[in-house]
Amino acid sequence: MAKSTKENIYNLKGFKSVLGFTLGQMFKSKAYLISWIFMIVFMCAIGPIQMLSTSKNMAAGSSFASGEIKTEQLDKINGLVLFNGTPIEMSYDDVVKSLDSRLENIYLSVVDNANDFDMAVSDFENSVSLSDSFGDEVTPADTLVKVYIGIDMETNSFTINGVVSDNSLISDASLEEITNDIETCFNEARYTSTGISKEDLESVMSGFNTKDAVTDTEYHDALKDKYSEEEIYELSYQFVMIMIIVVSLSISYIITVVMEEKSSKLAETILVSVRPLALIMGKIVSVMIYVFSIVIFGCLGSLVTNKICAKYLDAKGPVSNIMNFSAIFDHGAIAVVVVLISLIFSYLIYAIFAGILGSACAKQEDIQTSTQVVSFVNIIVGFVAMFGPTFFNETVVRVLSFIPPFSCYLAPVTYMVGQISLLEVIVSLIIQMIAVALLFMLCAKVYRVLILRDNKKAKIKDIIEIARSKEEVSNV
Amino acid sequence: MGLVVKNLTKRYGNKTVVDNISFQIDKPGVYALLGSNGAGKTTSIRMILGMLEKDGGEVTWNDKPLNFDTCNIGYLAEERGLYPKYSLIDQIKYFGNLRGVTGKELDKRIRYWARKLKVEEYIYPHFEGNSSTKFQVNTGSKGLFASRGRAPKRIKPKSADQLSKGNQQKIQFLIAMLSDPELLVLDEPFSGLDPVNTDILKNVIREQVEAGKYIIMSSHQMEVVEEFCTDLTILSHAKPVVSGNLNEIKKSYGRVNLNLKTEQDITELINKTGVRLINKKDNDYTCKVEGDAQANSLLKELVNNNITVVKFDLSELSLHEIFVKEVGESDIQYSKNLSDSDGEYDDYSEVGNTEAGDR
Repeated sequence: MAKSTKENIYNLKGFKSVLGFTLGQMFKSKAYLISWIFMIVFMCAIGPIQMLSTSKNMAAGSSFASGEIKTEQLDKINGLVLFNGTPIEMSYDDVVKSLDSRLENIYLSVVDNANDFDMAVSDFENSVSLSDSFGDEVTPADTLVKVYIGIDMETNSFTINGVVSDNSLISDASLEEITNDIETCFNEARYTSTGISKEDLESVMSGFNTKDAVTDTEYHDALKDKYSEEEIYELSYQFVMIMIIVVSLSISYIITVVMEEKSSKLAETILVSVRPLALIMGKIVSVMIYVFSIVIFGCLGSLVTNKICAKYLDAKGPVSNIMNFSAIFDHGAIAVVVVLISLIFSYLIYAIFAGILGSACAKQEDIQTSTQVVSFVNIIVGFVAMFGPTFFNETVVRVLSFIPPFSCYLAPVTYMVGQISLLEVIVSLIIQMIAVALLFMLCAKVYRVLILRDNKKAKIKDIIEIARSKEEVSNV
Repeated sequence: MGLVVKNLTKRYGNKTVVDNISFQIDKPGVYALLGSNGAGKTTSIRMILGMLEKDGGEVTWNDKPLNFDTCNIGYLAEERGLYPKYSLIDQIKYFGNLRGVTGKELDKRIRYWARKLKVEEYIYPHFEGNSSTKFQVNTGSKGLFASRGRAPKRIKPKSADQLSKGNQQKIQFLIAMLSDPELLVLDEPFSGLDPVNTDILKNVIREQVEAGKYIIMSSHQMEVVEEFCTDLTILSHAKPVVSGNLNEIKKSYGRVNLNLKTEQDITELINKTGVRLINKKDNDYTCKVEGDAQANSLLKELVNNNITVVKFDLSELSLHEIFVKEVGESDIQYSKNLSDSDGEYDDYSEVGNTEAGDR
C-alpha cells in the first residue's frame, strides 16, 4: 500500500516551459514590444537631449567671451556698472579679479556716487554698438548689468541688488552669478577694511566639520569620498526612480499574467501539467527578464549615447544626474553589482507579493485593488529611501538599510556614499535574500490554493490562514 | 494495478464535501463519476489529480501515489479554459511542452489530433477557398494587359476567443491527448458539442479504450455515459449512493420497464394485473412492473384475451432512472437529516472553494 508522503511544494518542474512561453508571448504582444522599445529609446535619448540643449547655452556664453556676437546668443553681457553706496572701499582691480574670466572684455565701471553712475551708464550706451542682427528693439541698455551695494538702515545690514532692463538679454542665472561674485568681493573688502589678514580671514570664514571617526581608515575614507547633501539626494533620487520604474512596470504585468489563468478558467488544465510554484515563478522570472532587459539596455545604451554625444557632437553640457541612466557606472564595479543584486531582490519581493495578491483576485475588477496595494507600498518605501539619506537621522538610515524592503532601496545608496561599509551591505543583501526565500515559501503554500478559488477575493486573513495550515498533503 | 481511490475525503470547516469515496479501475475502460450538482464530483476529481489537498484517503496508480510523475494524465476540465488572446498553436505547443512532448514529435501529434478532431483550420494558417489554390487567374481577358485575379487571401489562425464553445472544447481535448495519456479524466466532455462533434468524440473515446486507456468520465448526459461506462459511482450530498458495475447495478433493480404495443386497447387489462401505466400513445404503452412475474401475468392476460401483441419489451432501469431514483431518495433523506438537526445550514459559500460544475 502506498504511503502518504509530504508534498514537495517547492518542486519547480515545468518552470522553464512557463518562463519561455510567458516571455515569448510578452514579446509577441505589440503593446509589450512597443513599451519595451520606447522605454529603452527614452533612457538612451534623455542624456544626449539634455547635453545638447545645455551645450547650446554654454556655446553662447563662450562665443561671447571671445568677442563674437551671434544672433543665437541667449546670454549677452556687454557691461557692468557697480554702484558702491557703502563706506567700504572696493577697487576696480578687486572687482575684476572676482569676476569670471569670461567677462574680461566687457565695459566695467566701479563708482560710489550717483553722478558718476549716470555718466558710466551713458558712456556705456554710447560706446557699445550691437550687431544689426539683434534688430531695432534691442538697445545697448539691454546688455548692461547694474549692481547696487547699499545699507538697509532698518535692519542695519548691507544690501546688494543686481538690476537689468526689462528687455534684457541677460539670463537670471548669469545675473545671480555676477551678483554672488560681487557679494564675495564685497565681503572680502569689508573684512580687509577691519585689518584682518587674508589667512585669518580664511580660517574665520572656513568653519569646521566634526565627525566621529573611530579609526584612521574611516576618517580618511570620510575625507576621500565626501558627498554633498545635494549629491546624496541626487544619487538616492536616481536609484529610487529606477527601482520605482522597475517595480511599477512589473506589478501590473505580474498581477495580469497571474490572473490570466483564473480569468480564462485555465487553472485546472495547467495544474495537471505543472506545479503551482513553477507556474508562478516562471511568470515572475519572465516579467523580470522583460523589465530588467529594459533597465540594462537602457543604462548601457545611455552610457554609449552620452559618450557618442560628448565625443562626436561636441556637446559639452552636463547631464543632470537625476536623468542620467549611465551615472550608476561612475561609482565602480562593486557598486554596480550591489545595485543589480538589490534590484533583483527588490523586484522579487514585490513580484512574489504581487503574485500572491494576483492569485487572490476573483475577477478582473479585483486587479486594480491589488495593484494599488503593492504600488502604495512601493511608493512609500521609495519616498523613505529618496529622502532618508539626506533628511533622516543617520542611525535611522543605517537601521533601515538592513530592513527589507527599505534595504533594497537604501543599502546601495548608503554604501555608495560611504554611510555603510561593504561588509554591512553584504549583510543587508543576505537579509534581503532570506526575505525573498521566506516569501518564496509562503507563495508555495498559498498559491496552489488561491489559484483554484474563484468565488470571491481572498482577504489577507484568508491568505494567512492558508499559510498557517499544517495539514499534511499526500501524493503530489 | 490501475487506479485505486480509497476513502477519499474532503472537508471545509465543519462541512464534509466529499465523504469516503472509494473505487478502482483495474482494467482499461470508462469509469463514470456521476452526481447531482454540488455532490462533490469536481472536488473528487481535483483531489484525484492532486490539485486539492485530501483530508483523508489515498489515490494510487499501479500501487504508487498518483501524480504526474508516476502517471501520464490527460485532463479535460469542465470549464472552457484557453488563453483568449494567444494563438492556438502557441498554446497547444506550450501545453505539449509542459507534458514533456517537444519538437517534431509534438508537431506530428498536433497535426494528427487536429485532423482527427477537424480543427485544423483554426490552428494553422491557410488560404481562403481551396487551400491548394494559391493563385487564381482571371481568364476573362487575354493578351499583355490581361488582368489576373487577386491572390487568395491568407487566413490567419484564430485565437481562442474567436472559437465557439464546442470548438474550444475540441481544442482542449486535443491538448489533453497530446501526451498520449495512460489515464484520461474527462469532465463533461460532450457539453457544448453538436451531434456531429459528439460522434467524433465518442469514436475517439472508443479508440482510446481499445488502445488500453483508463478513463474517468463525469457527465450529466446519462445516455452517453451508459454507452461507454462499465463501472460507475453516483454521488449525492458528498456520499456515494451507488457504486459498482453498471450491468450488475441494473440487474439489482430488476427488469421493471415494460414497453408494449398492441392492436387493441388494453388499458383495462393493464389495470387488472396491477401494472402501473406510465404513458399511452395510441396503442403504444409504457408501463412499470414490479418484476418478471407481473409482466408474465400481463402477457398471459393478453394471450387469453386474444390481443394481438406487436411489441413486448421488458427491460432494466436506465441509468437515468437509477440516478433519479437514488439521488432523489438521497435528497429526501438529506432534507430529513437537516430538519432533524434543527435545520442548521452550513453556508457553503464560506467554504472558499466553488465547483463550477457542481453548482
